Amino acid sequence: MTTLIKQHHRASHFLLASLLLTSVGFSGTSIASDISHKLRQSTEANSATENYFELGLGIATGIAPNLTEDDQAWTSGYLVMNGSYTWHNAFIEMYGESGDGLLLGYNAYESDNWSLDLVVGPQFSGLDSDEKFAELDDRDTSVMLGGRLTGYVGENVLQFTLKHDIAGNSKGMLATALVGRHWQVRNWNVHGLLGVQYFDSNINEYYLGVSEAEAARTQFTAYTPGSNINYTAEIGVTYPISESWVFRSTARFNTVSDADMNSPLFATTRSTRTSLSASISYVF
Amino acid sequence: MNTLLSVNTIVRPLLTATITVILLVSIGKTGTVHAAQDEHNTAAQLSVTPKPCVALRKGQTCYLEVTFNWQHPKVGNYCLVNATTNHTLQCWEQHTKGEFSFDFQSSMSHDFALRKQASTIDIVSTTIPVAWVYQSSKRAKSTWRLF
Repeated sequence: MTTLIKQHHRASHFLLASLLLTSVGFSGTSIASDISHKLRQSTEANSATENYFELGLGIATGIAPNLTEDDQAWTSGYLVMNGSYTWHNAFIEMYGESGDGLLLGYNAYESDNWSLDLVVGPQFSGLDSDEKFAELDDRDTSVMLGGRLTGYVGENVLQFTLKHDIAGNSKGMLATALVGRHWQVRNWNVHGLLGVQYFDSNINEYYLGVSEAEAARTQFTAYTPGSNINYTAEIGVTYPISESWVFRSTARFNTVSDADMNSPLFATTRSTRTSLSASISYVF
Repeated sequence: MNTLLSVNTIVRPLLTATITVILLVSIGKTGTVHAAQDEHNTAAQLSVTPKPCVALRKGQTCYLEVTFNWQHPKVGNYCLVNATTNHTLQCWEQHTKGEFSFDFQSSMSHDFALRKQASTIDIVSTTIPVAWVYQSSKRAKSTWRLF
């Protein structure tokens, strides 16, 4: 996510909306964490992709609530940076199209069908440089530490995540449950993913809330959101163009909770978010 | 007696020379035949397009519609054989060339060869290599590492 989001940040203020919709709004890409990586690469149970790094470019379009613009439709290019490196049981991984972005981890348990990783990494970007937010307090990135349990049950891949901010910024907690499976249609690798994601009130309040002090010095009204749950569905394809080039395309649908949409930070609101993306990457 | 001796003296070298010539000629002819066969085999061609077959991950079945083209300077009965599995794909009778298309499906590279019908000797061969983008490895099965 971070790669994708940072690119959005750099692109323009308009893209900030996309950024915040996926980072502060939380559902979006973040639900499709690296379970989609496993699904895309059709990884078998009890196996892992060996060390690799890839760079690519993509384009995405969608319709979503927007923090700064009235137009809910958006289109943008993005940079794909994916990779993983495993040393004994420790690993570093970055899957730009997932919700976790850069992640450090340690594989603590492994059986035939289940794997438990301890993971830590930055998550959720704050409000950026749009003038609209100039008078607000900074919303810094959280550093989420927790466990990631992945299971292979029949043809399905399950993943449960429980993480907490240890940086002391949001001090929030995040829990996700995802189920997905993949199919191979000749050399096309198709995957589907369904998920639910829970954000506690600390995360929502830190990123989407407006304190009394902020309300006193800005045009925003004070807002203290509670916790929320978002649902997501994703379908994607991955195709090996050659030994070094990979094509990916993904369609995502997310619900957006009232806790998000009642925030006065949003310029326009809607209850769902839909996106379609396509990218091509070079695998080193 | 003298006459007999003189005949022996004349005939023996002649016989020896004749046998030598016959042997040399026969050896020469055999050499020519082998050289011609080698020449034919060298001139024989077998190609397959497109290749390689690329899967996303090592171990996945790779799919590829391929077409083989072969030719041989000598008319004969030839077969296109999957040399990896020893399975005959198609045979041609009294042909000097042929084309064959099929749907390759495998997780590993396969060798293919043109052979004379009922022969196990490859006249000419080619390979459909199977490549992949991501290497995956089995994780070691273990128990809890921390707790």
